[in-house]
Amino acid sequence: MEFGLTGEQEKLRIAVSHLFHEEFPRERIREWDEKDEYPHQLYQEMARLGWLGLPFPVEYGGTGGNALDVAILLEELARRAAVAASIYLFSVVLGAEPVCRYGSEEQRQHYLPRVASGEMKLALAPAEPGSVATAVPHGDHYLLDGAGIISSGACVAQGIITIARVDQGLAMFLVDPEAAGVEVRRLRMAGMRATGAGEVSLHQVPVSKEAMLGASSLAQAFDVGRMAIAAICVGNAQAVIDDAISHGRESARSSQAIQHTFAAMQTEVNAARLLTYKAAWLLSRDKHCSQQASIAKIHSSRSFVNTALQGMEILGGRSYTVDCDMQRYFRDAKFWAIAGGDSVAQKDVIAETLEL
Amino acid sequence: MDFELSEEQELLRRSLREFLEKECPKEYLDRIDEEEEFPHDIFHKMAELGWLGVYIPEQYGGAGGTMVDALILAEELGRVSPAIAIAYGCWPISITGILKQGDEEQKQRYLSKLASGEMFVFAFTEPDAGSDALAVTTTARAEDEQYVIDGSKIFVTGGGAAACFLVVVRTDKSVPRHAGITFFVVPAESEGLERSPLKELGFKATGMSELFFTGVKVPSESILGSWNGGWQVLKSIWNAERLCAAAQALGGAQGAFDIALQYAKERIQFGQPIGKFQAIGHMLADMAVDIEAARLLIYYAAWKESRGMECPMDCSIAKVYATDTFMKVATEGIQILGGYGYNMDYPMQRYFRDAKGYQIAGGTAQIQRNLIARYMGL
Repeated sequence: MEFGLTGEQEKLRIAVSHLFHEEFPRERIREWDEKDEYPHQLYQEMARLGWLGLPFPVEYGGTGGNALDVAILLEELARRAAVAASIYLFSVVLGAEPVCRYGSEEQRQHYLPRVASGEMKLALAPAEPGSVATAVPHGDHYLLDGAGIISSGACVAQGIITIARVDQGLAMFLVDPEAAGVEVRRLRMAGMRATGAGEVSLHQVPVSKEAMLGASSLAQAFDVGRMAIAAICVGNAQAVIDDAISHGRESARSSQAIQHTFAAMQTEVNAARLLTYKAAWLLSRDKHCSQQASIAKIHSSRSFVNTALQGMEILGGRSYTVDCDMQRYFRDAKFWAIAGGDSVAQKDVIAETLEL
Repeated sequence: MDFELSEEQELLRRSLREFLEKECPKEYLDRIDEEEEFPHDIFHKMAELGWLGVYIPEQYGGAGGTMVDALILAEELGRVSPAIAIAYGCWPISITGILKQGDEEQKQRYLSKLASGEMFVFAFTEPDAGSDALAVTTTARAEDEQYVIDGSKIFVTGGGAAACFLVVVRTDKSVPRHAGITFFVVPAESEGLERSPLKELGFKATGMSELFFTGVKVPSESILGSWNGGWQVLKSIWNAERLCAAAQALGGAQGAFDIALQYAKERIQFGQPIGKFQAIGHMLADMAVDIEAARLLIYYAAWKESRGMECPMDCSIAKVYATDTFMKVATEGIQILGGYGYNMDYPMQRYFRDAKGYQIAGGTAQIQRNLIARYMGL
């Protein structure tokens, strides 16, 4: 048993906090949210620092990091600026990781170095109940149809990984957002703004058979996504506690109830962090981890929502003003409770692993 | 990072599981609960197998293991019987106290006794000194190169079976409270020491007792730590106490969960196993989440403790999380078993009764939250 971080992981953590300390102060982060403005400069900075290629093998322009490295990066990014972690998640983890995992050699060589360098962004158009795209074979290609698919980061992506129903199962297709029949409509979100959220509609979009990612089961891609979301929730929930401490120290001094609220918040977040690392560790060893990824996801997102709710109350009236970061955390938290499968979906997964 | 136990630790877990399956059939567990009978035979056998000394360094006759090993034992015992587990917890806690605060002679004398199965039990609580541990009024005074102890202790875990008590008493009223307490090693057979069993809701096989000290004389070498140095002794065992309670509660939660899970698979209602109903499946999923979280919090804290890292906050967090989890799981466990959960012939009610005890013993949930907030700098 060993819970320590490696030297590299420690360095990564420090580098993240440096970046925000030096280049992207809080005002800037607040402004992106207020203006709903995608932080292109931040994305390029993450490319320059080599972070976008972290999970990819060296031969595809990456640095060969494992899932734990990604978890630690996302956690620290989210602690400093959730938007940084989010745009990373949408393009690198949800977008490019499936290409890395399921794509052909040609697809990997084409997309991964470009994602790593920041030249290209990918996004995922997931399958949600009620809005699943369909792919029908048509000669030497497929025709994709689907409407109203909410896709985080679609508005800024040069490639959209679309999950579509083929016969009985699901498959992933790489769709060019510029192709005929593809429409990406900008969505205004309550939280997690500035991340290029869009609604993807597909009308008889022809996609070559090579554009289908050779996926027999998408389970592992989902597991990575859930673990990554959990890591973001842990980082952002810790930011809530950090802010609540710096603003709420006085009220805590005279109130045992508030002290206990803080204790409960930190307890939840510490548990969430360990659950996330456990799932990431299993992924880093290529072990099956549907149960642990869902456990991490449900626990971390719930902890983040609870923590943000409490943070609002600890800060009092100030928290409700739009200039206060706490209300942004509060709005953002609910996004993660829903994204990547809500608590009902996670509990279904966990119950399934119990073989009831 | 590596979440795996070592091969030796896995082996310990497996052997323990086999041992308990063989030695603790349902009838036995029912009996010791109903008859309030201390499981002396289990502890004799565990001593023979070297498990009671797992946390004792080799030079004192132990196996030289770490806190992680001790917690594996606590967890596995808790899975089968929290009442046995909490009695086992007396070993790592008193071993920690003697190792950290005892002098060389005391280590030589007491640790081998502990390894061979003699039970040493800390006695802190008094009728008017519970969470406020420094409010103790039991006293000791020096007399003819001896000390004479007068007063009483209550809620002493394993008090009925202990060979020796580690008793905290007030030795100086003129100084700040924490600077005037002292621990004494008091043999259970001392003249003037009486013990009286307490009737509890759970932990019925643990021999929870009240102790009465009337002019109990102990020799001068009976002080653990130093005269008026009791606060250091208390602080030295807190981590161990919290981690042991947490691991036992985790085991209890796992035991209750296992029963509920099996029942949900086998119980047919409306033509299908009840686990197929989403509401029941989700209750079990919630339990699985909490149990996994508790386990990681405990082993993370134990890893820090075994490396000598500062971890009082992690221990408090593990304690409060694991004990609350046990209560939740046992409550939902009864719900899943329905009428059978509520029935005294089925084991779920025993977990339910024991679970409540863990939210109180070893520092209540409220005290842990006070401490966590303090460790957070609030």
